[in-house]
Amino acid sequence: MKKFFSWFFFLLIFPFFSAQAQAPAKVYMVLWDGCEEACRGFLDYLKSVHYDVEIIQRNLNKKTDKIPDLTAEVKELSPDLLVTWGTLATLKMLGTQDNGPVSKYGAVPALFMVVSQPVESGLVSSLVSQGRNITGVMHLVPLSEQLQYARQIMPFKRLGIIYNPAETNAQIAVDQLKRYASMMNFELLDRPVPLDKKGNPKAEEIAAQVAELAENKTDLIYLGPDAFMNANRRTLIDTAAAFSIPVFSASEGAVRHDNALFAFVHRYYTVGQMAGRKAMKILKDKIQAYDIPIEAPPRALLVVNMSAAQKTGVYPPLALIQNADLINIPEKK
Amino acid sequence: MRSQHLNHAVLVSLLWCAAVFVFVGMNFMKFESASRDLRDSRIETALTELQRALQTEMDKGTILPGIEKAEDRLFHYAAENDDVLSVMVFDTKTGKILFSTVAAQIGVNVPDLWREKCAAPGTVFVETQEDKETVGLPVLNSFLETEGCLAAEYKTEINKVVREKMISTSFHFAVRLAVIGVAAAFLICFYPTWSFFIFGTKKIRSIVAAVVFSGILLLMLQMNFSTMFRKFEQDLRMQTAAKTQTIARQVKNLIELAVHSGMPFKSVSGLEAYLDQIRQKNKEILFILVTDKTGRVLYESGAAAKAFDADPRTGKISLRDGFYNAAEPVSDDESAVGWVQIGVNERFVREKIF
Repeated sequence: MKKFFSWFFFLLIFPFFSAQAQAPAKVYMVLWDGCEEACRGFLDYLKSVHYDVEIIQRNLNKKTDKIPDLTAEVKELSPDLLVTWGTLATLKMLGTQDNGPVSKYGAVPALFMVVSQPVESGLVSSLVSQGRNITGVMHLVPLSEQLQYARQIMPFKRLGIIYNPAETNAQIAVDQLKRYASMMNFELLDRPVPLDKKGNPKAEEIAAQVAELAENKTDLIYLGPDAFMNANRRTLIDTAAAFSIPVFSASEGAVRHDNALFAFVHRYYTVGQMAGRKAMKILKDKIQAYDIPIEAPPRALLVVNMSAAQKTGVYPPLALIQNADLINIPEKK
Repeated sequence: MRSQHLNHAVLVSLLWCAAVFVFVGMNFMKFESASRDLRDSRIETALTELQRALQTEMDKGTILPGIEKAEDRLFHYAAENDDVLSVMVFDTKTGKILFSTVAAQIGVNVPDLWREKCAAPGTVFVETQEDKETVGLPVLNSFLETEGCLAAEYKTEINKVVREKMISTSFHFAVRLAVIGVAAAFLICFYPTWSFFIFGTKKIRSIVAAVVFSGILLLMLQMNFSTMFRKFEQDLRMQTAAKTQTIARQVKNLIELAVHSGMPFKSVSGLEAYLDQIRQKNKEILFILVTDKTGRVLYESGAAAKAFDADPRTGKISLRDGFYNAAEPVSDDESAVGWVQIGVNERFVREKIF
């Protein structure tokens, strides 16, 4: 009789435990501008490993006003993983390391993607063993590598950069460029975009600044990780083209859509896939986020706009083109 | 006295024959090893080019089974290499063949051993069967993980043909050199060579005879050694030619990629540096030229002048003996724009020996 009751009790609670075991992992995603390539790479990866996850997507539509609501929602839902896209959304959702090692979401681990400078922006103290329950994937190829590739394509003496001084990422890039300028023996012509009374950069000044760089015999212009300059990159690239100055970019969008000459990048889709791998380590292998190193994909891709190359007469060397993505190939006359 | 001469002649002959067989055998081994190296490096060069193309497609964000025109690339590769039986790409996780030049192989699983051997990044796996050999290279994704394996099955017939030719050459020259040595030994031991000369004292005649006969003997040996090396080099030509043609095709493919992408043929950036790299990697290559269609040299790496002779009367240029030249046409979308010419010093094994 005793045995019968034990079995009865087990059968009664078994469905409860089995339902608990099969409950999908909850992943809360905060996206800056919808589900773009990195987000698709992330979702495709989770799909490819057939892991049962419930995805909750929230879109900021390039604005930060929804952040308090999303913060409250994360606290309420307590997902198994919080995923953020982009530097601004990540910093707003997770805060900087000055906020202390404990996340405002308690035990909820966080995973970021498409953050260019996680250490310099104050998100974490280092890329490994940083103490915060955060891991992530960077999308920028180190600036030193970008410059080395640029040197192979065009041995420049004067490098120009026009940037928004109000943006952390842009300022970090300029500081790094100043360091590399002396090491790599080139002159840096850095031009901050003037700010208006409200502290916003004046987009109408960009063309004049490019003209001034041309006057100072700039060989090459760098379009850094700068949201404002990327929003106004067409002005920069078109004006530079008028002076026959090639532009190289930190991100591929400027090459793919706006005639910048080249970029040495990690594809967003690859970044998303790598984030997916890290997510599986947290969800499936139960590894703590702070034990998973923050890194970029190991192999980068050179993207070259061949129409821009034809216009400027600057072509990548043969040894580089065999592993490159050559786009906008000009039509034969 | 006569039996003492016979003893000396036999002893010298035996020592000479042993030395000749060791020397010829060692040279056979050197040339045979060079033949294998040429073949292996040709296969690796061609497969690496294909592997790189697949990896670049994956870097662009495509998954291995989704690479467009992957099969076309494999067919192109098979068409360019006469000894290829099939080329395939298989998934290293499942072992399933994703693409192949043999339709019946697609979807079939490869042996587990192949999967294991091809799993480690940076390795070349070789699996030898009775009449064919499989060479594989791992295909890495953007995370440097082995996602697939590019494998090609080759006929081993060419190796056998070259080897047999070299064995025959070795035997022929070993016997020839042995006969010369034995004849010389017997002549010196049994015939007073000084009696060929009728001047001076016997001592002077003996010295003159020793110098003249040594000279003749050395000349004969030198001529025979030289002919032997030349014959070995001719036996090796099949492998030299195949490898040189593969490299010429590799250079041509890359130049065409640049030209088709809008780079002007007459100003391909970094071409000479790229040619220098190839020459450094392949020591047998003496020069690489890229000419326009009239033959005017546009890009040059190495000393091409060494390999050509110009007829002073007609001005006609011809390739010197001991050099091999391979050429591949370069075309833009519509017509030929130039040539890739690669010159090989066929004496590269001989030069390594001495």
